[in-house]
Amino acid sequence: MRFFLQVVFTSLVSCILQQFVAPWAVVFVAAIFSMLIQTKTSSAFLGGFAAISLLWMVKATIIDVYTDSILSVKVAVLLGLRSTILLILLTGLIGGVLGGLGAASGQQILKIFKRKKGAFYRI
Amino acid sequence: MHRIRSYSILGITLLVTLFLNLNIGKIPPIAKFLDPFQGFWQNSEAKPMQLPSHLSLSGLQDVVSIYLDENLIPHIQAKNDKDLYFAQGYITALHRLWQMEFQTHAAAGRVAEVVGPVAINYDRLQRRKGMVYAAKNALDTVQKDPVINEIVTAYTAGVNAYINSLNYKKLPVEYKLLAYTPESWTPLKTMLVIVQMADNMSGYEQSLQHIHAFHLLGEDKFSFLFPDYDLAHEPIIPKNTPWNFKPLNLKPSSIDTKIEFDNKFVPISDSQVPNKIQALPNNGSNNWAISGKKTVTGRPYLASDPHLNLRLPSIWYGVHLQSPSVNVAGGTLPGTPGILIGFNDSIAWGLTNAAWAVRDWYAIDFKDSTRAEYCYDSLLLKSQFVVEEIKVKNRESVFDTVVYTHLGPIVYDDNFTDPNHCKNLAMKWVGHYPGNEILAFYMINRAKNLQDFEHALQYHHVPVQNFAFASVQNDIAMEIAGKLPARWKNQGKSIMPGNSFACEWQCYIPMSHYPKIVNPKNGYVSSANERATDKSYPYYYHQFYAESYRNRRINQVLSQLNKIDDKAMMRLQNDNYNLAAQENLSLLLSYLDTAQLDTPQQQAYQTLLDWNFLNEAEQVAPSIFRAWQNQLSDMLWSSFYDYQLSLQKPTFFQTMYIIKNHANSNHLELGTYQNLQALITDSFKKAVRSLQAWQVEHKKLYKWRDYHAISIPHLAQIAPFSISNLCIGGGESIINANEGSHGVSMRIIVSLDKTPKAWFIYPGGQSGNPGSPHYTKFIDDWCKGKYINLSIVAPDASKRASGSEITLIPQ
Repeated sequence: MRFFLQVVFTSLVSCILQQFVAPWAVVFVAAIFSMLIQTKTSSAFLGGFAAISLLWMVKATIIDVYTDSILSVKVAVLLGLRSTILLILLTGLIGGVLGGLGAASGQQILKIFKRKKGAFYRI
Repeated sequence: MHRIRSYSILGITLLVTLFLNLNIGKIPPIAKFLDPFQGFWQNSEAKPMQLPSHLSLSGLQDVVSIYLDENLIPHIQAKNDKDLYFAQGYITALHRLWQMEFQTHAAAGRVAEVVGPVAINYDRLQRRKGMVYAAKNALDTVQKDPVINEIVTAYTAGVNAYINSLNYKKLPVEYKLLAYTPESWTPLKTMLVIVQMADNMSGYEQSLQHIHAFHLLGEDKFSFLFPDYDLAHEPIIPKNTPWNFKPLNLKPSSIDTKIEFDNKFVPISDSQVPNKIQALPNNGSNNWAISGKKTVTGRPYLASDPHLNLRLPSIWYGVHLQSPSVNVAGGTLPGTPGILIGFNDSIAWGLTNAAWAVRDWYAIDFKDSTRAEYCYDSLLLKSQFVVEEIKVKNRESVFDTVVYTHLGPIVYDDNFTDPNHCKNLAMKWVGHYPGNEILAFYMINRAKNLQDFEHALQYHHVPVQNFAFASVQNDIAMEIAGKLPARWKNQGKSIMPGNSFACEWQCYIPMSHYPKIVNPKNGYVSSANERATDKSYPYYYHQFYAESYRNRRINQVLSQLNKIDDKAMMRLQNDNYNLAAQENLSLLLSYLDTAQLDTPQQQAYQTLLDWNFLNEAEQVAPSIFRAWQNQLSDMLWSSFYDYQLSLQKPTFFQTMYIIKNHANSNHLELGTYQNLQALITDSFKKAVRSLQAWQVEHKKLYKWRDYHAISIPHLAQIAPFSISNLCIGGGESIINANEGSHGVSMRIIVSLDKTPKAWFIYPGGQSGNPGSPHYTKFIDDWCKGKYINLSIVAPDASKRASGSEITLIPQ
């Protein structure tokens, strides 16, 4: 459930925000929802990764299909990829990395602040 | 422990985010680039961009409507001229901004700023040729002319209105890929477009090759191999046309102008430099005008097809301009206001390169090695030192000091050598001092008749062009325009001393003495870069290039045709007939000792015998003939490869002329061959063997379209944005001219009906966006010899597709 909520909120808000701002914004969006929803870093990372990579791949695929791959085919060659599908996957990978790291960072920020409370019994 | 983990994860996030958003070396910021909301994905278009129906812009006085037809040609309708050119700037930028900026950067020697150190030498050459110097001079002239200054300022404002509306998402994809942003447009950049065209048309390489050849071969051999006068005797102004002016009395110089080559002029030879003989593309073109008496409608036709480097986005951009003072359409150069080749409601015009030599090289007599002063008659003149800063992407700037004399800049010297070129010469070029070319075309765009047209030509100084003209009054004309130096015999063939006024151009030929022809009896005029006149023209001139075949083929066809219609004009513009082959093949074949040929060579021989002299795409014979021409040239002129400096070999026409008329000349080097027959036979055998090797290497038959592969590279050499191996015929010295990535950059045919109409095409598309279906929309039709319609009657509002029209409103 947490995972599902994290993915949905992260991707929806990113989708809206990305119309206006540069892509590094997704790092912050992923971090915020990770802090609000998740507890473990590894699941946070997976959720953030899934959210943004899916968002980017869906958006890219829509564009690719609607425009008959007119530009994606050329850019794929430019980046040394053999097909536009690989290009879409690469897009998803890059977005996912940003989202995943953002979400993981969110968890780590929480941990930094939590530690400040009862540090007595921690190592 | 956990703290380290936390901070390291935060650190990694920060680093990775930065990495993906910053430009590292050649890779663009990858996250920004791949972001489907803002990155290159957003440059993909399914249909042409839906334009907003209204746009409010500051800089406009009144409302302007821009309608994009199905070919994306903008039909601009404005209520005054200032708004008209503002809108032209805006819409041209909307489609071609990246191209406009990149081309003007290339003209100004600023490519290294965008692509890095690989372009430094190119940039240095552009600075040393004085390109920005020329553009500044052009701008000075424009700023003193209130009408043109207003137009250029309005055009600039229109371009900048578009630039200011951009954010990362809307940038052309090349900016995203190369990770930079557009800078503001300026009137100087508009001048750079003109200077760039002038430079392309004025034979920079050829001028150097000619002086190298003159000195290395000696005057006798040079005049034998590269004669001044067209031995085919079909100049633009027909032979024996009388001249109706009294020429100026020019005294020839008594100074011996031949400079012996010594170490000062010849650079250190570099034996590792490969073959210095490059076949130069001939920036030539065809144009013709036909009087109503030869046409089926009784109205004249005008046809023009300029030949330039083929690039994507295309050099040309079609536009239709309409205001109370003008209604004109045709091809424009993105970056300059007005129409360069086209038609209005009364006249049509087209240009071919006149190829007159307007660039000479002078040896400067510097007082000492500081080069601060040089001798000139009894004076010591001061040189000017101009420091050029060449910015380099991601690196420190490179600085280059250029020495300017009053004659021009010194291009090659000890600080900038090119093993193929002579150094320490000042370059004198008419193009350093342009006229008011924008005014010339402003007036031509509004001309109503021949008088208006001729009146406009005086403002056009560079490049020298043959202007073809036709009007609804049934006048046709061919007139040369540009600044023409008045030379004494052979002046400029060699390097001249730059230390005396006697060696300079004494004056310019008065315009009323220019070669021109109006309404000739035969009913047509044509030009295809051939020699302008016969020997009787009283002023001496030489051309750095003179065509021998295309012009005669055009005249052959036009003299025979009657009741000409638009289909006949289209057929002629796409004519693939190989006149060089028709005139010479049987002679060459007669030299072959067929008993010596093996089977593949016999087959090739037979193919040539059966050939109809058409260079069609699917044929094999043109490839055989071309391979043979190349072998013959290489073998007959093999000694040219031994020279240290770059020079051109004699043309095929001249080679065959010598074989036919001077076969025993000692200038013909047979090398180890017993006689000409042996050499020619061997050249044929070698040609066929080379074709066989080609076939093995390319794994297909050497059909003409594959053997002489025509390609259209992207301006910044981005391979996936380029097109290669087009299915097209034609070739060198053929009306449908093409070679490598050079060819017919645009075709236009105008029928001077009561309301003139036109057919238009170029190898590219109106949109400069590789993500648009309009990027390459016209290429297929261009290959097949088809055209689109170009009209000066914009369709009325009810017939316009929705989303295809934008109304610009003043803020």
